[in-house]
Amino acid sequence: MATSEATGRTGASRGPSRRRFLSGAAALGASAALAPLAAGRVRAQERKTLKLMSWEQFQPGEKDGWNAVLDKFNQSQSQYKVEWTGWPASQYASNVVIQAQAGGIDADILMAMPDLAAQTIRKFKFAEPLDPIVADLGITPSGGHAFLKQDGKLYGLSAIDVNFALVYNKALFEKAGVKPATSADEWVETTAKLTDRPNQFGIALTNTIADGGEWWFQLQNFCLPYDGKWAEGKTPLANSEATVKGLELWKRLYEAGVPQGTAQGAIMKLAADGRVAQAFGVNPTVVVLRATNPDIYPNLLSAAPPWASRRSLDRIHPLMALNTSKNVEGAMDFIKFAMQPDIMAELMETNLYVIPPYDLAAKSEKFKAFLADKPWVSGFNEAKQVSPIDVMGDFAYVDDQFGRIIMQNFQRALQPGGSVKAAMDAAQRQLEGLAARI
Amino acid sequence: MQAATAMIGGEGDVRVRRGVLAGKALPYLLVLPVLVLEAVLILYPIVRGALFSLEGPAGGLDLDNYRFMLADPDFWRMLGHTLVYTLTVVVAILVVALGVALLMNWSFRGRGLVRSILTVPWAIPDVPVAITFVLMLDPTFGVFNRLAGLLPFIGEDRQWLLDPTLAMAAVIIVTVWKGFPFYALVLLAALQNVPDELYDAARVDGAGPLAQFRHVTLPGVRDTIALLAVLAFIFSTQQFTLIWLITGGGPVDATTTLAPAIYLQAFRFYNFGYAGAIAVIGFLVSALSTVAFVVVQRRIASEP
Repeated sequence: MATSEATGRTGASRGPSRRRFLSGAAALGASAALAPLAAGRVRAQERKTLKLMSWEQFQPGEKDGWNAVLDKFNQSQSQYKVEWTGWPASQYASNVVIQAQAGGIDADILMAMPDLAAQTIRKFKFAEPLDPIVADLGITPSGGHAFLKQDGKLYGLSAIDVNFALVYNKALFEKAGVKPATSADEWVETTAKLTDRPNQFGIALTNTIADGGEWWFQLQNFCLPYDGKWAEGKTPLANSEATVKGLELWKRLYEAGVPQGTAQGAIMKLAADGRVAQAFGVNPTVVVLRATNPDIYPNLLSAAPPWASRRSLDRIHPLMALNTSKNVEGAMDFIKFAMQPDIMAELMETNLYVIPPYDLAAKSEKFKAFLADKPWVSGFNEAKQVSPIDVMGDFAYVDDQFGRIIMQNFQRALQPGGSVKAAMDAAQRQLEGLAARI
Repeated sequence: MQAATAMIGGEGDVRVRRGVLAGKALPYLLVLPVLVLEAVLILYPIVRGALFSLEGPAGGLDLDNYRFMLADPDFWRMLGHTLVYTLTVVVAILVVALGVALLMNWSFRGRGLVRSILTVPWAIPDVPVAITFVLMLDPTFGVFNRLAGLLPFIGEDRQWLLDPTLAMAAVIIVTVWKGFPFYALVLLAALQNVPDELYDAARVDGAGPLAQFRHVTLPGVRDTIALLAVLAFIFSTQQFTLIWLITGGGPVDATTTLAPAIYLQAFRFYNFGYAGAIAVIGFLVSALSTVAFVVVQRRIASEP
């Protein structure tokens, strides 16, 4: 031992040989090169995977924006990484409900449509309160979040928010010498003035059962012009005076200027071609029209719903942390990350989302500037937010079935000589039967 | 030595017995993979679907879904729509297919080309067919109303997919248009198997074209028509894509047959039990109708 120490010392005093120097340098170089890889492998092994269940990864105009959010989160994290799971929008809700009914949703974070969100919170009770995130970020969620609250706790934060307003073609309005209506009767008159079948139609309203999802999506608003509701608790109000008057307004518009029996896709094409003067639609309608025909974009503006209350449905698609997850904390971390003003502002700008989840304009100059550049947003901002859950009562969980009953019966009223009241009386009887089963 | 012989004989017996057993079991072993596959992919889903229909709200088995179904006027209406749609399609598709097969059986220049063109509808997938017909049936812009406008007794403002009667007619027309080439090709093959001597004999006996058709052609393809009728019935009962994409089961519920009804209940309304009950009835309707067709066909075949 002593000898070797002496030898070593002796060797050291003489300096390393050329071979020893080279082999030592190689070993140092190799360990330096491998160190980050090894550390990376350890870190990757340690990082827990969070599953984000959504349909957004399939949305052509939106997936890039969301992928950027995920990438940023994954780069910022040493504990978690987020991966997509889910299905395209058309199959999404049914697949999630099937999983939930089977006992659990195979994800840590869930993005949901409003009715699915309500079911997840109230029926399945799978959601974790997000109030700590709201407190940490110091944000004030928009009024449309009311349906995501239960017992004073907030269970979801808006990832995408779409609401209804009147989208109109400024050029066609100017040509006809009319302004956006502010009352129901004026709306019918304006629509008639803007109609010159088959060259031009006053308004785009979906009107076939084959496009049932889209039709109910719009028609659901028509309990609001006269301050009605579709249901209160388990009591359907399909034949209430306010609802019947609202549907009569829809029928008057249909007769005045709708492309009757035309498929939704064809109606959108007509609108993009500048042959439809107005639409009662959500903010992405503008994005779709712009994508179909960029030339029409400068002519598009929006106005508040043409009735006194200006109330229209606001469909918040929230992010929720699932309490069935083994990584609830990670799920909360991701939602908090996504809700940060800078991250959210960039997402909204990339994806052309214009309704922020909270007072974002006050917190992000970037978002404020983005909105200032969008004159077509004003009507959507003037609309008063009402969630579908607020007008559907306990039928929010059977929204599709409720809508199908309304649409099928309402179609009788659209036949020659059909009566809205008689059709809704028939719908009411069917809905009372449905109430007994929910 | 004896012991050794007995031993050898014993081994031989065992071998023979093994050989016999293997010979008897071999066919069963060969069909086993198919049986397992069918049990997993066909039998299990059918049984599971039937069990769904018997699942009560508390998890036990009961007949509530069936009781509800039998008392539900919507179900009877859907069953009625199914029968109207199915029977009309079966008759119409066989009539059109037989007519086309007779035409294609004639000898004329360009027959090969015509045969190829006539198979086009069958070759196009359901989705583009449905989308194209939706556009063609559009009341304002569709070609159907443009053509109808040329006829004085129809008028050009037919609301094809908004009027309950016209909508059913429209989906039947599309189904027949889409499906007839398959039936026509099978019938053409059957027509070509009818011996020419029978037509010669009929002509010698003074039979005209109609009489030849009635007494030679139809009996010659009767079995094929019966088989095709069974197939058309089964396919029509199960038709979903065309109906769903063209009308969505509407207007009102005029074109909601059993297949769209099952889809709606299961995947839109999440009533899996009720959907299972409707599916069981649909299965029984198809199975019983098939049996009835086969029985009738055998009776007709056994007639002198």
